[in-house]
Amino acid sequence: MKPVQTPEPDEAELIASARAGDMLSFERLYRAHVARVNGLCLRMTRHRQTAEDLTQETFVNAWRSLSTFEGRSGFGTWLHRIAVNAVLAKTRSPQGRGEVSITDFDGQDREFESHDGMDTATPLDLERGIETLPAGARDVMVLHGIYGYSHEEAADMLGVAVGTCKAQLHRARRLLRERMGMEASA
Amino acid sequence: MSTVRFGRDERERDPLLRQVAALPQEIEPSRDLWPDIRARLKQAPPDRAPAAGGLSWSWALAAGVAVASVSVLFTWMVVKTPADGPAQMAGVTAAPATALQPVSYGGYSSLGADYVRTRSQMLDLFNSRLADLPEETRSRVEADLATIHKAAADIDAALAADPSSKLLNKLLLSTYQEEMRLYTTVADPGEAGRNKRT
Repeated sequence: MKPVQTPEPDEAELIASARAGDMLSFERLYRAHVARVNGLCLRMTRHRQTAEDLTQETFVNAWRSLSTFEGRSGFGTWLHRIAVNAVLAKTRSPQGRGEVSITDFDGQDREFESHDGMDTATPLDLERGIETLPAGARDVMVLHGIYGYSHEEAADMLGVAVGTCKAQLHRARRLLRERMGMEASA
Repeated sequence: MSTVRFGRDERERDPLLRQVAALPQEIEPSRDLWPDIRARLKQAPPDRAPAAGGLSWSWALAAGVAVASVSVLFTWMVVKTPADGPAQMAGVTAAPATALQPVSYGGYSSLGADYVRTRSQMLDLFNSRLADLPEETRSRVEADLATIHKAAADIDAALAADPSSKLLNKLLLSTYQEEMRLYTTVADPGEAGRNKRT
């Protein structure tokens, strides 16, 4: 006799169950999204332990706020929004100051090995280059460049004007290119 | 999973952005975070604001603040007209109330020093008067304060997802005002009566 297979619940069903208090459904949502949330937190904070604390915070806040998720954006985007808020709240708080220098790092004193004249950077070079960017430029490069959010979405998440977001991306591209010894593109 | 949505021109013009976009979006944490998260979730059940078909979450939060507001008004009436019953018996002490926990998100996450100082003074006065109230009135006041605390916590949770929401920030401001109104009601019912909304 063929075993009966129950179809995997889709994300909307998991969200509905979690909203009703089902922790198992929320765990499945966590498993599906944790790496993307942690990736974002790690790139914004550049500190593994802090990123993992903020990833935890993101999921706890998401659980508490599930009733406010209206499905206008994807669940992953909603989680990222909460994660960005958690990162900004942490780095803005008195306890966070000095722990993660997201707002005051000038990007000049970090060790970075540049490769003169190379046209194509390795992923590791790029990651290191992004790490050395000043906070505002880095945040935009992470949200827009790596995670593909539009300028409008990134600006909304960061609480800045769209024009500021575009200017920060321009700055990030220039600095990254300089530091990696890449030729300026048209 | 990919959510890359660059404008075509931007990507086509800049090979650097193409390379950045190809970086992995997912980075696994160094350990399984779920056990710690689960332990925290058990202490914080999800808010059960009605979903589709009922009131929206924003109206549910607004309703929470309105309940706190109306409740404080009734408390003012009770405090202003003390019950006939005896005041609290000597030796029975009320646990001192604490101010609202600072919220983490939104425009009011950083409160001004003047406000914090004034609130702290009002809270001291409130706590000193609370112990003198008849037990029934004191229970009512404590219930009001709990309602206000819950409204603030619910709004903070919603602000975590949408810190720039004008509605949520306005609701939070109302909650702070209700908190101060309650302190004033107990600390100085006459003053609260002069300031209460009509």
